[in-house]
Amino acid sequence: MSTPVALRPRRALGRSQELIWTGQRLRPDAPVANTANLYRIDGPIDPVRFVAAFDAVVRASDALRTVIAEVGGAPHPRVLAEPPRATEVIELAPDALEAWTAQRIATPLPMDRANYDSVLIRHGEHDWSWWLDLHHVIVDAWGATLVFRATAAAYCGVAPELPPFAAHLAAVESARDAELWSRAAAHWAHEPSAAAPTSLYRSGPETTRSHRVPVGFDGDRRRALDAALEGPLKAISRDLGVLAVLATATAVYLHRLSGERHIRIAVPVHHRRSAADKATVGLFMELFPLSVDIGEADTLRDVHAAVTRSLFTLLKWAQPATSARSDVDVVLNVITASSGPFGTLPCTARWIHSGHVDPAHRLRVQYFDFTGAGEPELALDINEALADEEQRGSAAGHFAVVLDALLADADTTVGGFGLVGGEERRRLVGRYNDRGPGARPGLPVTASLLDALRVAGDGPALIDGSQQLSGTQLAERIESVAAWLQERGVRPGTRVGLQLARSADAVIALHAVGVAGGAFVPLDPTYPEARLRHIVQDAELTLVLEELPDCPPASPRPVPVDVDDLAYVLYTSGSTGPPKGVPITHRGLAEYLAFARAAYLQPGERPVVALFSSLSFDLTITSLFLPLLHGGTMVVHREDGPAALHAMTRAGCATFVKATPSHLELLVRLEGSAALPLRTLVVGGEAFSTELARRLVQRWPGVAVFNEYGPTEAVVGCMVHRFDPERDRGADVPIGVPAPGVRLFVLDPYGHVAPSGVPGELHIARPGMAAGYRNRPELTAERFIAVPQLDADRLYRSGDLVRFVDANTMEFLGRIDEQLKVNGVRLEPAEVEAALLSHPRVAQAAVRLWSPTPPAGPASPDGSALRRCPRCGIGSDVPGIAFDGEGICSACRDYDAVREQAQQYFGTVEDLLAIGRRARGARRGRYDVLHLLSGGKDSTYALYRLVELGFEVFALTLDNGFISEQAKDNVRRVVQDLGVDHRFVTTEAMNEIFRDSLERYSNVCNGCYKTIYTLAVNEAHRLGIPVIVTGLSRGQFFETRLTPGQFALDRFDVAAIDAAVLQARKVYHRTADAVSRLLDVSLFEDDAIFEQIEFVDFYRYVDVELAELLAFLDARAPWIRPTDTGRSTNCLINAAGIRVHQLERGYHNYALPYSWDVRVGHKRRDEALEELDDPIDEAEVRQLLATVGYEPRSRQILTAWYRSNEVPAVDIDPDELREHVAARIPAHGVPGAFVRVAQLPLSPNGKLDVAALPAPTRRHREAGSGYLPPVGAVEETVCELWAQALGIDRVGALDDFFELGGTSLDALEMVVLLSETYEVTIPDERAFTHRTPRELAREIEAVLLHTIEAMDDDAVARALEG
Amino acid sequence: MTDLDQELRTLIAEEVSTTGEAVEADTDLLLSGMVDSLGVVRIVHWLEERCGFMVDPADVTLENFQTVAAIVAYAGRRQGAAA
Repeated sequence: MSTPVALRPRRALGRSQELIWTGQRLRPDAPVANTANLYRIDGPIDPVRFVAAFDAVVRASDALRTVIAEVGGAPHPRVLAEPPRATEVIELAPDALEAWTAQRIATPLPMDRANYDSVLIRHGEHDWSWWLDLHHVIVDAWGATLVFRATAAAYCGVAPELPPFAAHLAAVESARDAELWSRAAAHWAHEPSAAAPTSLYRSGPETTRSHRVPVGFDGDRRRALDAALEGPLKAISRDLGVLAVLATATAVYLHRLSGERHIRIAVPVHHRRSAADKATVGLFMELFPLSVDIGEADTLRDVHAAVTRSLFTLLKWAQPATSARSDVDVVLNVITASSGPFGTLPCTARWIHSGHVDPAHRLRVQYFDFTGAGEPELALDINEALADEEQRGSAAGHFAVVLDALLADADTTVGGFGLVGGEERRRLVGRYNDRGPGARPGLPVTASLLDALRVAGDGPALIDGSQQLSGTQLAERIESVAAWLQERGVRPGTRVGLQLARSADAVIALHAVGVAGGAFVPLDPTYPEARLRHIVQDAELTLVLEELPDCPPASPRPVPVDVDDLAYVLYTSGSTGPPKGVPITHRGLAEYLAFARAAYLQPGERPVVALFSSLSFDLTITSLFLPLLHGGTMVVHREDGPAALHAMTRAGCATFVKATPSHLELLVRLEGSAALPLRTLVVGGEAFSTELARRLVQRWPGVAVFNEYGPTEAVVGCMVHRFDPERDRGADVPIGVPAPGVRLFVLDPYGHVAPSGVPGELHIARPGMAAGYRNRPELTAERFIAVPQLDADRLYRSGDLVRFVDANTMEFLGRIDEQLKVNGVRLEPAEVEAALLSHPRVAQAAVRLWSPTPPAGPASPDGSALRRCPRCGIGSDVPGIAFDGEGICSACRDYDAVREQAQQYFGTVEDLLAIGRRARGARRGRYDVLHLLSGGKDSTYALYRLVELGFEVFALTLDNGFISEQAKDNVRRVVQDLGVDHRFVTTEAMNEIFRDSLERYSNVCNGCYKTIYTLAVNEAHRLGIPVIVTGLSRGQFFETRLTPGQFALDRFDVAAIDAAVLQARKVYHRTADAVSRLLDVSLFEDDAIFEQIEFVDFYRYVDVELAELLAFLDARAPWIRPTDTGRSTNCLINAAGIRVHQLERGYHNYALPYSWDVRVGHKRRDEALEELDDPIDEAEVRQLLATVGYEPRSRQILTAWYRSNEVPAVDIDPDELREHVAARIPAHGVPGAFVRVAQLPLSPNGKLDVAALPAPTRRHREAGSGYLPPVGAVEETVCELWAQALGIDRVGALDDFFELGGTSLDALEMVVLLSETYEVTIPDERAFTHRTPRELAREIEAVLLHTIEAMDDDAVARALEG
Repeated sequence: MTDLDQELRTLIAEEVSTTGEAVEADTDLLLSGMVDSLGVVRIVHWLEERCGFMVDPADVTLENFQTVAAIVAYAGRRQGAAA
């Protein structure tokens, strides 16, 4: 056994210094850390005296003389004896100053040579400037002010005396041994990491370029702030008040722009505590993350209150050098460091922004007051990646709107105001929509169709295989059928079903319905029978044509058809419910066709149009009408899908094709298609990648490619963009600008105009768009809305997410209800697809979130059969469980090996009585124990026995809001029967705790348990009760306390387990989560509470089988098994927790504890399986989850499907693809699985058929996911032990123990195990501060080295021999 | 109570004050800017250790922390309540 030794490697730099050094080192050419001030001094200066004064200050400050070299990738600071750089003295005209400073600041200060740049500038005898540029790695804003003041004092003859910065660094180092430091470090280590970089107005390429945008902090705003700080937003101190107001405004601003609910902002803590600290030049400041959750219904005051609470917590734990990660990329700086006069001379300071910021800080909100005149300034430093110039110009206005709303009326809700005003509003709402009036048709197009065909005369109008009709012939056929239809009662408003395959006959019938005055309703014969039946019924079709009637030549009666009569009804599928009928009038149809003609056809052009898409698809309307109305030719292809494209290629005559991108993807690859005389390609129906557009223009040089956007409801196409290979460089081709007469608005979730660049839902107003859905008034009311602020009495909510790329271009991002969210962060699949397509071996790619369908029946999620252990019943779906040759699970085998030993953990009733006697001695009130009575059978039985054994019991029940009434009646009856004092406790925070628990653990129980324990400790403390008794089952002990890891340690030491459980309990109660945020957890801050109040598990001392227990309750207690939960539980929300766990984790969260109940003999295998098989009502689960505000994520994995361009195709190494994608987009967009397919499947409409994509198998999902192999013997061992402990295949050097699913107890065990393996002592808290194998390995290596150094030579020799 | 008063004044003068001015029982700590937010949290922590009770964030108000006398009175109320 070795002696404990200090584990800490000596740090060369302070925590913040390390971060800034690293940031600069990654970008050696950018001035990301130059902090420059230009002091303008009004009066005479003696340059010689000045230079000497600054020199004296440098000599007095170790920080200013520090240079930092890089040695082997690590910083190596040295303090030079002499000033490393002299002050320059130059002459410069005042008007040349601006250009000079801009040029001077552009060079990064060389950290290894000198970390300051001092220049005295003479403008005139009485007009000087001092340029002082200090590298942030040695100094913060406060320190810079000290340098200024010390220099001014030295100039006036006061010798500078500055305390050494080294003293602060040393003090921080020694503080790291204190318990407070460990607790603070553990607090910050548990902060969740940010899921993705902040996005504001765009996602540009990473850059250091950052622009300062002044928000404007004039007198009015300053007075409003002062008034608010005196009144509604009052705080304990002015600085905290200002910080809270700005943090609130920043949080709401970020929420409004990104839609994120969980906002994190880095806030600097100055760490200058003592008078000496305050006089020391150096970098003390450290950033800590401030977290705040924003709900859609919150008022600004609510957010302010949450921010204030969070700030208090932040300051409490802000011990120097405890901040954990640096992934929060929004920084709020409040800098008040006024420099004052230069000696007796008036002086003003100006902070010069270098225009470059470490991209780790993408947005900085800067509130600074350098003048001391009480005239602070407010500015945003915005990284170029977040906003272009125009967007930056608007950003300050958006921030100001939020700030002003907060200061003026904090009772406004977070969504109660619009951000966009002034010029931006005129641009987005006004000018963008100003495309001239629409067609304003007076007559339906059907009225001019026959004339147009007759004008075409003998030219071919319709070709279908060998059948060819001239314009005149086609007109005659249409007229004859129209007359036949009129005889059968067709008149304006009559709907006629067309159940005809695509053919010349179908085209004739369709136009005949129109000429007769009726409206056509396509019934695609390839659709399922049920769908067709639904349409026939819903559209109330009395006439359905299944073939073209054989009728004699005749002329229809001319009927007066109004433009507001119905032209057609198309049925579209939504994500839910049956297909819905979209009725379109002649006005809408004519508006669209007038736009299409102007947009797509040259004057006099007679297009040859290929008709190959479904007649039920609104995209096809263009091809059905345009050629016939304008003297062109329609060529019908009866084939479907790829065969139709082959046929089109063979026919070789199409000049105009309208198709989906998926179809064009096929066409462009068909041999011979290049010979098509294409002039115009109109693309619609789904997102259109720029990459495909480029291939189209390469294949058909000179072709005009149009991206047309429009939902069926707004008539085929309501906006368009002509592809420009030069200009269009995004992932997808933009969707452009509105058609004449159309108005488009991008609205945020609160119904306000979204700023340029910010995604929002596209809302459409068009004359003649659908009046609503047929027979669906509720859906109509939901999708067609009035927005008076936009002067729009009817807007169609498209459900599509779009954004302005610039004032004249809109971009399509996808369906809102299909939005990809990874860890709650929005992701654009097109960007991921574009990244994949740039890989030379990838020909085609689709990226979607894939999730398994919930497990149904005896199959595991990846399709293989589910195995169950014949002894305990545990399934192969539970991770970390293996089965041996006999089919017995690894948990049973592990237990076999230690069954005897494990008995030591259990005690007897005598032991329990001894605890009772101890409790009676220690109690401060009337009760010996507080019993956690859930109302279930186990805790009820325990209560009876406790009373029987003579304990004075106080019973406590958590009413979590979902306890069944029958269960509560049980509790009431039981405590009355026993005469026991009892209390129901509850908390308003319960729903938020459930949501948090679901987010963290995919179950509700963890949050509920923690709530019970927290409230129980508070209650026990209040009543002076020294013992809390739980009714945990023996199975639960094994699940949570006696983990197989404990057995593997080969040290089944009861005292050690109890000590570890106690340690884990401390960590458990101090972990930051909803409980710690919302309940009073102050008791747990003091270690003493864990000794004052002991937790005792009743079933550790009493062994009883289930049958015996039930018999006891039956005979003795008025306890009735609840029937109102529909399950073997007394908690109604349990079903939701179980369902979420199944969806997200892929197995039942009770599978493990129940298997232990079986293993230890408490339950029979069939009893356990029966309880696991309880049916779950999905509707009820949805309702429950809505109540607590949780959206299940399902066990989603971002999956990329790709087609390789190699022949023969082979799988591309997933790591290669992953690296390729990771180099191009943020980490959260890198797919977890890559699946090669021979072909991407298409739906009948020619869109990607998502449902037909093959599921990624476990092989795909687990193949190399960011795995970094361990380096060195210690790291290898740590990785290996982790993999064993966590039951996973392999662990990488930088994997996070907790992210891999390790619990606090697992982590402690691991530290114990490593301590034993290496015969060193690793302090327990390292379990929480050192979370990767690499960090732990470094610690172990440091200790080993230290131990060897500490040995004398003999000891080393002995150790080596041994 | 005079002990607590003296200890608080020493703490503030030596470890918390941003101004270095003399601290009397009725010196305004907060609005004068003598104690900033980090200083307030430092005082709260110190008080918790010294007096053995926890301070709720909601109690950290001007009323309870504006002067040394106010803090002493607050501590007195808290200890009185606990006894």
